[in-house]
Amino acid sequence: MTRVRTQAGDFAWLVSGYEEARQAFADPRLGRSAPDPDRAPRISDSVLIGGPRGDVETEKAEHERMRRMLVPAFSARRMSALGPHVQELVDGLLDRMAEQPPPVDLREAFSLPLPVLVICELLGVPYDDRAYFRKLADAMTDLADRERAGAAKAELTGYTREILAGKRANPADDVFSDMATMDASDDEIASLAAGLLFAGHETTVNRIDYGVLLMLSNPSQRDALIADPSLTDAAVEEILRMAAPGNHGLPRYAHEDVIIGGVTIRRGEAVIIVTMSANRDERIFPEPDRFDIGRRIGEQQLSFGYAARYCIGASLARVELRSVFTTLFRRFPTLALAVPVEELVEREASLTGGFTRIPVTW
Amino acid sequence: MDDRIADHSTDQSDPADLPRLPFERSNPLDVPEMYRTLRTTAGDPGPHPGG
Ligand code: HEM
Repeated sequence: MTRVRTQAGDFAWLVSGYEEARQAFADPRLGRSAPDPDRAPRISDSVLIGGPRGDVETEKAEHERMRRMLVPAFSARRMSALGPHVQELVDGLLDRMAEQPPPVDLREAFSLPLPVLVICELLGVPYDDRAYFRKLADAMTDLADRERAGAAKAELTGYTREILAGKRANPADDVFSDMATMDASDDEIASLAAGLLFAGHETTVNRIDYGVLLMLSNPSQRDALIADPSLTDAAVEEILRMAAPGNHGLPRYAHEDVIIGGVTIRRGEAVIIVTMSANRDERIFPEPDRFDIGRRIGEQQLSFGYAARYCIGASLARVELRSVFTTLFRRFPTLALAVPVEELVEREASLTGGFTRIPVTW
Repeated sequence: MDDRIADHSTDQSDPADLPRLPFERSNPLDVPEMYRTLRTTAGDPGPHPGG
């Protein structure tokens, strides 16, 4: 636990160790809302994580309600049933990539379309609208321009509201059709649905890109994976542990005084949980900066968070990542970066981070 | 609980003295070196008056 100044210049507690991160995630007295929102420390200018969200009085009930609405739609069982179809999508995209003359932008050809296709099908959103909502998703994660990000968020919610109305008239076998019949206001459902569309792809795209870069920078690990596909699950967990796009943490506010890691966090103070640091805690992961798919770490890494707010899409993301990493390097064993890794351009102004392009050859 | 430790949280030392986010990293595949430093001084609540 360390006192730091946030990007916005305010004071916050930074949680960098693994055990403290789990403690902070699991403590019900730390929430996304703040007891005195107008005076709450700001994390950044980001619309999504810039400051407190919601109301202390209602946060817990609303959050539980949200999880009741969404968790069944993304159950581990439903997601593994989706596995074969995800594999078809992976194969199809890689077939098309193989037809293009290298160098090809891996992000454009593969890592971005895959999660977008999957989330569109699962939610029941037209894939043809992807350019439109992707533009909004990009604008939403703009850290520099709060107004632009806010307008994009409102527009995305408007877009999902229309889709939900369509589902009410013509229901299909998809998550948005299920949501359209839920006992909640249109605004609430549309905003949840917009959140899913957003959470459902940016994050996964970056883990694919980072996984590829980690494998390419560690050829012995890539070769081990090609030789033994049963290492895939462990490889995916190791990628999730080490991939660190977006140099930001997860914010919380203390609803009352809380002691974590030996320090007292006073009511109203901000806490930032940094999973990329917790995932490199040498007390849990020896030689934490070494990419080693032979680690036996199970699902210990904290990239999906932990406890009450544990990522709802974790099973879905795992299904996608497993499919990607069983296939990509077998299909393209000579895959290589077409530019030195230092020349990759980070999407610096974006909350979710990642790279603008990943030019590859094979 | 050691009150001397707990008390650090109440100090309102000038935030200008504190490490400022985001921490720099030399390579996007790494995490900022600062986090290692902070982890290895875990439990130390950081700069405080008289520090
Ligand atoms: C590798 C990809 C992904 C990563 C690394 C990731 C990471 C996370 C993290 C760290 C949280 C917890 C936030 C917090 O504690 O404040 C979270 C929550 C969430 N994620 Fe993901 N996520 C991924 C993919 C997805 C996908 C595919 C979906 C789509 C369905 C999704 C939907 C959600 C939702 C709805 C929440 C909110 C849960 C809550 O507040 O209770 N995520 N995610």
